[in-house]
Amino acid sequence: MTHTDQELAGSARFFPQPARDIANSYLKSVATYNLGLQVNNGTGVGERIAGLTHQLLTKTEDPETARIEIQRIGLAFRNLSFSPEVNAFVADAFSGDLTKSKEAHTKSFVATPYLNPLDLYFLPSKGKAIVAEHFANCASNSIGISLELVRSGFPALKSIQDLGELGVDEQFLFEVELSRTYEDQRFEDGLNWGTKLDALQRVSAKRVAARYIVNCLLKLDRVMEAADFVASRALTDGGTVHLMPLKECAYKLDKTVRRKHAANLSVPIVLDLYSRYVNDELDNIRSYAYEDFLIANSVERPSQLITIAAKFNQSQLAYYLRWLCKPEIMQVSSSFKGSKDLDNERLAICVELLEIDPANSKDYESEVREITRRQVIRKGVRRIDESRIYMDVPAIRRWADKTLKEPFTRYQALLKAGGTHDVVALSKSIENVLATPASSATLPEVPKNESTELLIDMVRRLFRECMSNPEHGLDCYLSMRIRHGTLSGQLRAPLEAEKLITQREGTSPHYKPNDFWIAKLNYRGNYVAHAINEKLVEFSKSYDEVVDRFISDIVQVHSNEKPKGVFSTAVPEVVFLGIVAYVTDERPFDGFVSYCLDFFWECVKRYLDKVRDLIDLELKIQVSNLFLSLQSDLVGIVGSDSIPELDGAIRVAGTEAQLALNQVSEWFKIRTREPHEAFSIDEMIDIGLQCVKNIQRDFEPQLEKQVDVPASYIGLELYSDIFFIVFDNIRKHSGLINPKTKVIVFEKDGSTRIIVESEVSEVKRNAEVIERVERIKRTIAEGRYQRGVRSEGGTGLMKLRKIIGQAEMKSNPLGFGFRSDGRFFVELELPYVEIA
Amino acid sequence: MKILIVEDDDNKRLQLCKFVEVSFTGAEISEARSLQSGIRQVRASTPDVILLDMTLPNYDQGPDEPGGQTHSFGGREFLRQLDRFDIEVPVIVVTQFERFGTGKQTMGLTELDDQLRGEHGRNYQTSVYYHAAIHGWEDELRNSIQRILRNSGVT
Repeated sequence: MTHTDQELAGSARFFPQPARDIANSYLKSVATYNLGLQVNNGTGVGERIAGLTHQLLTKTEDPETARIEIQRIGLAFRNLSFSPEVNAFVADAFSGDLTKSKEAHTKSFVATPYLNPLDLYFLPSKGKAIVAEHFANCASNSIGISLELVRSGFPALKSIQDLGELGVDEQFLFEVELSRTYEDQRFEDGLNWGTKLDALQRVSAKRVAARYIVNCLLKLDRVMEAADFVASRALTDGGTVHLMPLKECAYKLDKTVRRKHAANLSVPIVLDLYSRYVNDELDNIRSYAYEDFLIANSVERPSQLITIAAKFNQSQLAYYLRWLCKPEIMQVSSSFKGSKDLDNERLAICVELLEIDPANSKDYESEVREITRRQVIRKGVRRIDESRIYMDVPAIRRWADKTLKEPFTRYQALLKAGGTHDVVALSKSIENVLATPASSATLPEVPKNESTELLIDMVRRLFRECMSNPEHGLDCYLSMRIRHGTLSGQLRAPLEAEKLITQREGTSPHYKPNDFWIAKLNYRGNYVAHAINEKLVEFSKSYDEVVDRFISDIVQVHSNEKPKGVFSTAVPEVVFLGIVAYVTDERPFDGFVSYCLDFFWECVKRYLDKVRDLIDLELKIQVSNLFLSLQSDLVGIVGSDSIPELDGAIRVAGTEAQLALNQVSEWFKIRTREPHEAFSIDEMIDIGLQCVKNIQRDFEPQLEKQVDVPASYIGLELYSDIFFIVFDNIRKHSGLINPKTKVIVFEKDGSTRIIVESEVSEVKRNAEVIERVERIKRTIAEGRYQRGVRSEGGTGLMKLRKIIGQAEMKSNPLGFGFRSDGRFFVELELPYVEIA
Repeated sequence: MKILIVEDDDNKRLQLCKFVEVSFTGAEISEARSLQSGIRQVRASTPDVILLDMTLPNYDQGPDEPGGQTHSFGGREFLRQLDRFDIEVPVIVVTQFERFGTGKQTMGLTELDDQLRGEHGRNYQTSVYYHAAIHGWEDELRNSIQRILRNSGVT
């Protein structure tokens, strides 16, 4: 048995009917289409082809998929006679290029064992006459064959007039005339016949007409007429798009034509149709045409077209706004300043489209929702970045109420008793000091006595509390929002994206080898690959050391253990003098606390200036030097025989690292924020996740959200802290890049319950990890989690407990651990509405 | 003489500025950090020479702006836009890369030089390979700018 025999025998199983009948079944399908009837989709190959053929002809539902499927079937049974017929059919029904039909029908003629009259017209002139004669001899009564003979230039049996008199439908007669004139290169005549065919109120006729009309116009070099026809017909019958010669038309819209007709909407529309349905190779030209149209109409942005909308064809304008005024195309224009500007423009366009193209309103509404969601996430992440310098002021005030009110009353009583300084004189002295250049300033002295000692003590305690309270002080938030992996994550992210940095092996000081570059550079030889790996490992270590030093030495509260810490609990003398001058025996306690807090923030502002200076003047340079030294090391290894892909990665990462440093620098600023900004839980989940994705860009959990709480919440920082910690733990400990993660949020008994469950890889679910989870549970149960909060690394759950602690729930509000199916869960409870 | 430097890498831009200041005393330097800000500046006022990076973000990057799409062939796009707006200005591509693009579109510096010369010969002058750790680019760039100035008569 030959291979072909086996194939035939195998394929016979799929066929409920002979192969020739399959060829017929699609002809039947063509007939049903022409008659406007429906075909029933069956299960056999023949019926399947008939269904797809019909789908391809009507083009009402996803014709591209039907084309692929029908060609796939043709390819699968390529040794059977119907296969070339199928290809010829696809060329007729799905291409505007008439040469494709010619090629496919010729192949079909050669490859099939029977004669198909539809092939005749396309045959080379040499053999055409012989085949025509054969048809004429053996099918003298067939009107169909007579039509094909006339079409092919052999009116042997009947003339076109005879056929007309016999009552042959004028669609077929016009088609024959059209084919004839086109074949004879009488394109003006072709246009006339095409116009007649197009005038028939039948979709199939109009589509054939469109195919020939555009081809004729292009042959006559009437490019803009062709473009206008294509643009207009594509909007009235989308199914025609595949039958018009988009490629030829798009390529004929050269620079000269585009310049002359820049104000004509057909130009960008044709280029867009080409991009969407054929090929994206002219996308940059499409973008220019988008902007040229605006410039030609004296506007800079699409939204400005609205004022002159009446002068355009409304369907074409709607198409232009819908398909061409998208951010990826509009970005060609320098009239937009950035991504946000682009998004806002698209938003404005969608709103306009809702008015002028209501048929597609659902699409525009959905796009508006998506853009708005993206903007909310961006805004939320920005706000999180701005809130990294934070202190829980209401909690500090509560502490002050409990602790300082009594000594404050005592201090005022001492002032009343007159046993202290001259406040008016002191205030005057301070004003003078503040007005004098710092170098020559001499601070006034305050007499040391019981009352001043008392005030010094109160202010010092308040400053210490503001800075160092483990639950609501500034240092606690520095730890949680900056030092706890966030800063190093932000600075490592660009290097991780370029695969330049590896991680430490567990708790060992050694770094993992850079397998990515070892594999990639293997072609350069083992020595080079491993020498470079060594340098990359050294680089990883040095980079982490530079960043870690900055975090563990600089972004710290100054102390004996942290002598380089920039932040301090100390009360500068001038601040103290200011407070002394402010507090009279009549000042209220709340005013005193507010005044102290203002001074505290003033001090913090100076610390932050210092941190930013250190980033700009030291950290950036250190990081830049590391990259330069890595580049030099590479030159040392490979000499002038450089490694472009690695060089490129280093340069991209170097630039991105500097950008990341700029972003980090922005964190060290105090901002005044709009109060009570509302975000929904849904948005806050996305914002928390986005913050984690900023650290590891390829982290993409398969997120399922089940949120059943009212729309808006306030307290973005609280919720995004929670979701950030939860997602970051999943990132670090799941051992997966796309873990299945479910977030459930609902309201119960006046509180909000959040449950997050996430898949964990088996490797990460070992006895050591389970023991560590249990240890953390014990630490939290014993209330020792406060200590964990002040350290960085492996303390996410303790920080979570601390955050919930701030929300003042009475019962144990945090549960976590492994489910029996291996998923890790975190379950927590918060008061229903939390105000930041 | 007016020189526009279109470069997103802070360090390289700084090095190029220093180089121009030292080599062409009195030169008026303007800077752009992205494709679009570069085009905007050229459309507003045409300089005498442009030093152009090849790989560029679409917009100036900043805390609020990630920069949009990064164009592997941003320099080529810049040259296309000069043609599109009929702007004539000598352009020198100063690049740190020896290969550009990814996958099928990957192209070496020589190949790109040929392409740019063929497609944008009106403005494109030459490419200079810049490497912060290797000397030599300064002389090459200085000679190229001097040649342009001699030909155009700009001082």
